[in-house]
Amino acid sequence: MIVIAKNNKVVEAFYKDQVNMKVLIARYPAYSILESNTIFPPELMSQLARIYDGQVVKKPSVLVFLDKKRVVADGIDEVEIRVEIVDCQPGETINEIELKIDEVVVPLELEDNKGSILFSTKIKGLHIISIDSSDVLFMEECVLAI
Amino acid sequence: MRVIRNGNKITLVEGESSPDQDNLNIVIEAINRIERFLGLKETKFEEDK
Repeated sequence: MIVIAKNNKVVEAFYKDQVNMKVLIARYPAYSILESNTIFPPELMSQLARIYDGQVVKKPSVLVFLDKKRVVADGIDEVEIRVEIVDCQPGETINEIELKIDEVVVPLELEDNKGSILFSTKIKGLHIISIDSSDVLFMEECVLAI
Repeated sequence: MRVIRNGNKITLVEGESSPDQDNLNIVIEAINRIERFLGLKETKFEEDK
């Protein structure tokens, strides 16, 4: 697979047998053109892959665990949000990640690619927990506050 | 909606996020990190135990 990259981000990708390298070089003069062994459908490559140490690799995944999914909206009852980053490259550590709870961004310090924080709320309803970054893969979690 | 941060606990409350509160949260978090770095806090949950 051939990947067009800029600033360590995948911009576009093509199957190797479907492109002419001379045309690509002419079309993307200011970009890096890399050959990749990591293969995803070209249209998903920018979402799923990144450039690390000059190589095209899968983005790390952020696993979010909650010790419970329901909390009393009194500001006292709390949920432990644990975060673990997997699929990092050998020796790679991520020291901080930004959790996004509804529209509020909360920096979370990590140690050995793991971190946790206690969450409480005074607002009833469903709170969506996500990660404020396009550099990692994640699935949203939610907490119901009653 | 805004967040009040107290050590390793965050509480979501009604209201607009204010620059003063945001700055205060940053200072509190910085102090927590320095304390952890210096070993004054053994774990992130010490104050909650």
